[in-house]
Amino acid sequence: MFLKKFSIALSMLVLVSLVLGACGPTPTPTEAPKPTEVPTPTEAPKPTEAPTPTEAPKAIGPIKVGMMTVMTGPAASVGMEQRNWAKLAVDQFNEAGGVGGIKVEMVEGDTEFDPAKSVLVAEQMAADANVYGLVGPESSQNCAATAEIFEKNSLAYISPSCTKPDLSEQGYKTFFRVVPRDDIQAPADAVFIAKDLSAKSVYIIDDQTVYSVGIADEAEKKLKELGVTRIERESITQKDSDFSALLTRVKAAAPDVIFMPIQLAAQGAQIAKQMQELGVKAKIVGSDGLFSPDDFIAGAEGATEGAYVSQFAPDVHYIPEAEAVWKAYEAQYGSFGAYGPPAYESMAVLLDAIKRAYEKDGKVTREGVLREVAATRDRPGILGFKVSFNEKGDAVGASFYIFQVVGDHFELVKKVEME
Amino acid sequence: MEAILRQLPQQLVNGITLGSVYALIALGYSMVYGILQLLNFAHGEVYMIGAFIGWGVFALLAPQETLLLPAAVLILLMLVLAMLGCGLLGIVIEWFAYRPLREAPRIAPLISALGVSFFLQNAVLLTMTARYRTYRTGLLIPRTWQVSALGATISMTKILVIVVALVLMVGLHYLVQRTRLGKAMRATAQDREAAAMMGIDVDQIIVVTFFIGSALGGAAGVLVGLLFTQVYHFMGFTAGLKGFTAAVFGGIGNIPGAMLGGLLLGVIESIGSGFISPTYKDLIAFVLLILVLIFRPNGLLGAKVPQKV
Repeated sequence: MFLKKFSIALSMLVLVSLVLGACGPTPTPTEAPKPTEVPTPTEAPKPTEAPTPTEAPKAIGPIKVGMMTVMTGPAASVGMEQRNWAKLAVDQFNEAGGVGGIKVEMVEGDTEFDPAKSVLVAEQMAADANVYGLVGPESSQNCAATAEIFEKNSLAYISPSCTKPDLSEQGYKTFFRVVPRDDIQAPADAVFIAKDLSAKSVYIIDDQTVYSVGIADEAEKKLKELGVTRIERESITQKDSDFSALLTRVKAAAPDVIFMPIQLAAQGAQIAKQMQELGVKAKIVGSDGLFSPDDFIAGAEGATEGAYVSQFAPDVHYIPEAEAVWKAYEAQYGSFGAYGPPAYESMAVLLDAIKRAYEKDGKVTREGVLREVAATRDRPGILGFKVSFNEKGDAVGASFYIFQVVGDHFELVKKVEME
Repeated sequence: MEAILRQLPQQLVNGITLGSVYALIALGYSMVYGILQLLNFAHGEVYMIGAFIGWGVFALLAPQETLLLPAAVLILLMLVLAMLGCGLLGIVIEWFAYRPLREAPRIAPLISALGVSFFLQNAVLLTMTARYRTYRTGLLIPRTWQVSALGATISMTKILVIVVALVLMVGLHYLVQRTRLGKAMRATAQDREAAAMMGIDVDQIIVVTFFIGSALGGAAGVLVGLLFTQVYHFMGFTAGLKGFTAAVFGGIGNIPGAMLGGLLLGVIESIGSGFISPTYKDLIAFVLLILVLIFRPNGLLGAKVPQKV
């Protein structure tokens, strides 16, 4: 009897919450403000056009920038580092005066490393008329999934870590990145394996993601060109934790190098540990996904010592221009890897563009911000090169770096320029 | 061909290690199903929490690379505390999420189970964050301690996992087949109402079943932690799926079936990965599962369930 009453009460509750939920914050299509809502041409000669310093804050309303990355799940440690660096850029920008006296607010969206979820986050960002641009998403599959939404809404987005080549080949005007492309990374890795490590046989392991398969394909092609004939290849999934069966195969093949362009550094560490246990002697070469001091070095308990990892960003500790910034970061958030600084750079480029758009137009619009991001030329930053975007949105002059695990950190062994 | 044969002993070792863990997880599913006809989908999360309890004990008693206790004692403590913690968690889950729904249609506790599963996953995410936690197994059992025979290398960690799993399974078998409590459990599984009429406290038996099943899940969590060294909030999902598959393979509700199903699933996955392709290991395992279910719908050891009138 009690149960019945209880269940009726429960279903009422569910019903009520559904109704309430329906009229919650999600804007209905009619409400969704157009990105260009700020003064229309006919209204133009209002005080907004020529803002005096004291009036300015009221005239342009809140300014938001998005930060879209993975904040939960297996890649969260990398995503949180990006988020913290981006936040630092926003805080420093606000301390320096913001845009016309207005402080910029950073809204965060968690992609959960899942294209389906990142589409929802992208829609939310696009629906908020006060968001004028964003940094992210973090992975090539999520950049691919959200590209159309940003394009439709004229929302400029700068990815600090999407490296898949064709992301900038689709004619989208809103996509930018401050990192080099995998069509440099994959051949660079292949050359490193074939020439620098003089490997005769290579075992390639991909994790079946867009990113991983892309690099593995490119590298395999290049390795063949370079005369490496004994190449074998297998796939894992990001959910696997037992690799002993695969590694027993690898052991039988006895390759000189295991090349694993996979996304999860923790998984890379696990593979290294199980290699050690099974006595697989091959050298490990990985791509940027493995670049995590926490997961790939500390988490491997020494099993990754001597492993090589290619990364799209330098270790900013060695870049003089970056010193003040990384010191500020370490004081606030602690140690970091190589994923964070490009997020800082992306955010700084975006904020600069917003400021320029405001100064030129007297207001901030998505179109203005987009125009100014695209117009970024030779902007000095913390990544060791001056940022300029070409017409595709790729950063000109970005380089790849190959690091080796030595003790508890990564040491630079080679720099590969983008031609 | 020769290379393939040379791999066989190693792949069998890999498969048996993995399989014994699957078997431990499968037991939790099977025991609960046997008694309540309930698929306890929260079981994977119980296993995950077991892994975290083990990690917590380890982190507490081995700060900064030094062990405060001998390795054997520490491992035992991790196992015992994880089993106790998970056992109690199992009881709470039963009391909170399943007991109120015991007379409800069978779909209701199933949904409730999914709810508990999400709840536990997110509770861990919230409190422990999404970071991978590392079991520094190397401190307890150096990775170089291993035995080589017949072309197979087996590490002490793997031996430990297999031995602990076997001891637990033999213990469970003894408990169910040879003790009064086991007899009561079997009676409850056969017919709850009749068992109640014979004076068996059915509620108590259900609580005990949840305790034992969840404790085994917790032990599996610690063993996997020691073996694969990384634990995180989402690890219960895949493991739960595999454990459930193993239970169905062997015949859900059947205890020796769960053990057999687990071992077979592990060995099939390893052999499939080793000799066909790691990419297709799940495909191979599930195709075999489908085949088994076509010819033996109740699983390998599952008896035909008599229709209750």
